[in-house]
This record gives sequence, structure tokens and C-alpha cells, in this order.
Amino acid sequence: MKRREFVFAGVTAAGTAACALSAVQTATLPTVPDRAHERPWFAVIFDERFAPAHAFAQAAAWRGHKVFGYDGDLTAVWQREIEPHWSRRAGALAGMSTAPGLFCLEQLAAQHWLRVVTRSEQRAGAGAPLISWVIA
Amino acid sequence: MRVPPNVSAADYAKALAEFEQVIGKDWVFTSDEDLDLYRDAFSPFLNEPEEKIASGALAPVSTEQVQQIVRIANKYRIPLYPISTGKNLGYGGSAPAYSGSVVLDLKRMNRIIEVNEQHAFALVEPGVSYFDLYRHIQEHKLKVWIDCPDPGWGSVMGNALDRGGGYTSANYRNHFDSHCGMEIVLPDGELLRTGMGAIPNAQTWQQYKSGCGPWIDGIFSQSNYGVVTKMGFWLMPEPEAFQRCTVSVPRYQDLMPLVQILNFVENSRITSGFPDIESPLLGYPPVGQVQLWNETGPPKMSAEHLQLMAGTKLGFSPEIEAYGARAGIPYWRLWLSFHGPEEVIQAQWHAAQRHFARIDGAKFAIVDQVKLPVDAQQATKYHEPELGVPSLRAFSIGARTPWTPTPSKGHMWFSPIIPRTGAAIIEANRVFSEAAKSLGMPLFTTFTLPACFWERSFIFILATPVTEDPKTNRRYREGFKKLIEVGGQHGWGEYRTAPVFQKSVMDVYSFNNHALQRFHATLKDAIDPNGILSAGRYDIWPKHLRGKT
Repeated sequence: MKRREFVFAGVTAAGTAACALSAVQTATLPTVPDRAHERPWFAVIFDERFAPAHAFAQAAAWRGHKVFGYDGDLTAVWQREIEPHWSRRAGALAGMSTAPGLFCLEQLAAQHWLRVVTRSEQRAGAGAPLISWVIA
Repeated sequence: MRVPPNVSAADYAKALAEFEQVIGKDWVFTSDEDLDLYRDAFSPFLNEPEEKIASGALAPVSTEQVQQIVRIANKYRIPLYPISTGKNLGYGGSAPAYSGSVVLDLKRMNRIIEVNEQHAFALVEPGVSYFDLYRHIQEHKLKVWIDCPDPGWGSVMGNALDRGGGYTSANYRNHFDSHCGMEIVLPDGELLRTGMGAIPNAQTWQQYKSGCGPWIDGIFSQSNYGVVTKMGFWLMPEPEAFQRCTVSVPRYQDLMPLVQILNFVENSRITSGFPDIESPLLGYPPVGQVQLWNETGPPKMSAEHLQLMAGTKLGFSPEIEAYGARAGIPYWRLWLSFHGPEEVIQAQWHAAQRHFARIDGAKFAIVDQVKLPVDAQQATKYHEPELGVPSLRAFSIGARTPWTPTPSKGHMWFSPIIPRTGAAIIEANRVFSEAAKSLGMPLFTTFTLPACFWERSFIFILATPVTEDPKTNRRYREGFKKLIEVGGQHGWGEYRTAPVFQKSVMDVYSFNNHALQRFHATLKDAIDPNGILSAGRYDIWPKHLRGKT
């Protein structure tokens, strides 16, 4: 099986939920274009320093996703959740983070031939803009 | 489909078919979508046609596959560009030095072949990251430390071959120096082992570096003479304790004896941890606290202090010195760290204080005393790499914050090596700040302090920003090259640089009509006559491209 087909084929319970939720119009979860709809999200991560990211995570959790917060430092969530998963198999990851956080994940995702398939900037008051995104 | 330069589309298609036979179709990449993953995220050619890009990428999983790939590449003259994981952002990333080359991506070769606790070494493949090695050590409860850069996402081998550095003890901070033994696929597909590894069934490949006869390991770093497929590293036995202390001194001129004594205590192994110099009076942070400053903001300063700072010349004015004395703010603060048994650390710290006490008014403080081991979570209270723990926290650097309202789109590291003296620090500030000002490059604020990775020299690191504006980037690139030239005129050369600047940097190493570069070319012609490996890396070109790019 080809690497990318593997990503598309692995529709699990979480994936079904992801497909279902992408059909639901919500203000807090990213709308995922094109074939990324088909990809299950194995987890949703969020920068817990920001209130909008909390709301994003709550919406994702309500829809049955595994949700992991981090405090600006991605090290622990990378080591415990993301890297072990991507080492075993490719899988889509969604989240809301600052630009440097997404940049870091984007570079790490490339190690597994995964890329950012959607990104949407959201203003979080006067501070840094937050980005909701999907890597697949 | 992209095609490498000087290769016909027909030959490239045949080569790709043969590569697929060797490594499987899934691991031969030719689509723009896949090849975009190999772009340099910090390319100084952002949004410009000159950006260096790959024509293809190959991801073998074994040394045997690498051997077969280079043989096919020779047959069709395909330029290859091996990378381990390509995470050296600011120094080129995974984009090839010769645009259009096919990236030989070794990240699937990620076996940790051995971690030997008794002899404190590891033998790894190119795709093993610092995180991988750290996790392996933790999972197997081995009492050894890695030494990692910051961030720790890159390849252990790749960082060493690029001659990167870390933050623990002096014996391990220079990552190339701390390697022991290599396995290399030569450009013709021959397999070579260096040091004791040249003995079949070697018993001490990772215990004795040089073997017998010429020691050739160095020519495989920052070069294009072979594909390193295994590499040994010495590891630090897990210390019992860690202690971080400071030496604060009040006057500008104290920088001279401060560095001089640092050299003595470090070269005598009175201290061996990562030394770090800051200036509280000039608002310049120690390397180990840059992240903290980025996260929480720099220490608050009074309006008077800020005004006096702006009025300094080369970081000095009598007024700010007097203000520092009045307000109890040191001009310089040296951070020293110690690893080992507590009683040894106390004796070392005691001896260090005795030496630094020669500076009138020197003050001493113990900042952290840590009983080891600590886990990754506990390590977050400190600058993790100084405890041998890899981290991604560096990505707070560059974040948009109230104190960094317009972060750049990346940076190019300008990093000349300068002498380890206080006078050289001031002279480098004078030379480079004047040059940067005349070139319109925003590199200096008040004063810049060097990094102390190496024991015998400083790296004077400046981050040249990459912007979204090609015109500005062009000006910065030209300015960067001019700074390299200016450094060369003062006897200073870069320790490492991105491909776009490698020619300029190597031109500085010009003793005796570029004898060193001519020797590199002679080696290239002998070892890689078809010029298939990393053409142009550190300005080493194969004969058919020499002088033509």
C-alpha cells in the first residue's frame, strides 16, 4: 500500500467522527478542504495559554477527539503523543497554535512526509494571532 | 516533473526506474507536493526564482540501498544531495547546495545500533534524532547523557557532520570532536569504515578514534566525499549532580580578566559545563535564558537605565557604569555550570571563586543545585539541553510577543569564530556593528556577546533576518557576504554556513593562493570523479561544474 493511500484508508472510529464533524459547520473547528476530509484526525492539540484555543479544544473533545494541550512548549506533547503515533503510521493531526508552534510542527511533520493541508488565522485580541490547522 | 541539471529527461526517467527497483516506488519522490517538503524553510531566497530546490528525493532504508543508489547515480550522472534529517535551519535545511540535485534522504535509516553504558558510547544511523536517542536511553534506563543542540529535533549524526555544538560538558559539546568511528559509502558505492572499524570484527570501533595511519574522518564533515551511514559517539556518564553559579563583575574593563580567568578554569577542568556570558547592565541575555526572555519578556529597566543604554558606545559609557554601580547592576555576569559528584562540584566551585576573586568587586552566587537524574518534565525548570534533555522550547524564539512585535520569517546565522578574549569581543562588536550599520543591516542593538560552545574560541553569532520582501532579502544577502569579507580581513572565518554563502566563506580561507580549496578539489576529483555527491557543498565542485556556477 502506498504511503498516502495508507493515510486515506485508515478510517477508524475517530476518523469517522472527524468526517462527521467536518460536515458540521462550526465556528471553532477548521473547515478542511479537499481530500483532507477523508483523513482521520488521531488527535487535536491546542496552545492552552489562549482562551480561543481552549474553546477549540472543547469543541473537538465534545466531538470525540483525543485532545492534548501544551503551554507553548511542544516538547512533551511531541514526545508522548505525536511522534510515537507518526512513527507507527501516518495520520492527520489538527490543532490551534501560534505561528511558531505550527512552524515547529510543520517541520516535524515533514519528517514523516506529512504537510499542512489547511490553515486559518484567527485573531486573539491584541496578542499573537492563533492559527487553526490540519496536518495530513 | 523536475529534472536535475545536465541530465536528460530520458536518462532521469531510467534512473528513477532503477531507484524504484532498489528502494520501492513509495520512497522515490518526484511530485512538487512531496519535493516542497525539502525546501529550506529559512531560505534567504524566499519567494525568489534562485531558491535552491530538489528535483527528486530518495529515501533508502539501508546501507546496501545507499550503495546501489550511488552506483545508479554514477551510471546516469545524477547529482545527489545526502541529508540526515535536514533540520539545520539557518544553515541551509534540507535544500541542496546545487539546485536541482536529488535529495538522498536518510531519515528512514534510524536504527540505534548500540548504546553501551559501560563504555559510554552510542552507534547510530543518520536518521536517529536527539529525541530518538534520548528516548532509547530513558526507556532502557541507561545511565548516560546525550549532548544536544537547541532545538533537539535534528539528527545526532547530521549535527555532528555539520560540526554543531551542544550544552553539557566540554568533552561532549563539540559534536564532531565527540564522535568515534564512521561507516561511509564512497561515491563509487564502496563501503569504508574508519578508525578501529577498519579491522574486521573490531572490538574498539567506538573506543579509539584514529586507528592507525592517516585519520580521515574530518574530510567527511562539511564536505561531499561520501555518505556517512553509521557513526559512533561518546556519551557522558550520567552525573550525580548539576550546579549552576554566577560570577558578577561591576566594570566594563572587567570583561578582559573575566574571559581570561574563564579560559583558565575551563582549560584546567575546574569547570567544564557550558559557560555563558550576559550583561545585565546592557540588557544582553545569556544564551541559556534567551527562551525565558522570549517567553516572559526581558527584565524590567528604569527609564534612566534605558536612556543610558542607548547612549553607550561599544557598550560603554562612564555614566552607565556609574549607574550600574549605584543600582547594584553588574556590567557582566558569567554563568558557570558543573556536573559530577556534589563534593567534587563544591571543590570546583570553591576553586573557581578563588580565581575569579582576583577581579575587584566580583560577586558569586549559586543559582541552581540539582540532584540527578531528573526527568524531562523536571528539566523544564532549567535550560533543558544543559541537562542533556532535548527540547523544542526554542520555538518561543521568533514568536510574536509584545517585546518582539514583528518576528522575522527566519534567519541566516552569521557565525564567525573569534579569539576567546574580552578584547576580541569588543573588537568584533566594533568591526561588525560599523559594517552592519553601513550596510543597513539590523543586527546590533547595544552590544553583542559571543557563545561559548567551544573551549578555545568564541562564536560571535548574529541572526540575519529573512523577510517576505525579496528586495530586502537581496540587500541582506549582499550584506551578509560583505560581513564575511570584513571578518576575513580581520582574520575571522565562519565555522559553518548555509549553501548560498559557502563560496564566500571558503574564499576567506585563502592562505597561499587558496591551497586548502585546491586540495579539496584534488580530493573531489580523486574520490568522486563523476561529481555525483553534494556538488558545491562548501564550494567543493566536481570538475565539470568548477567555475561554471
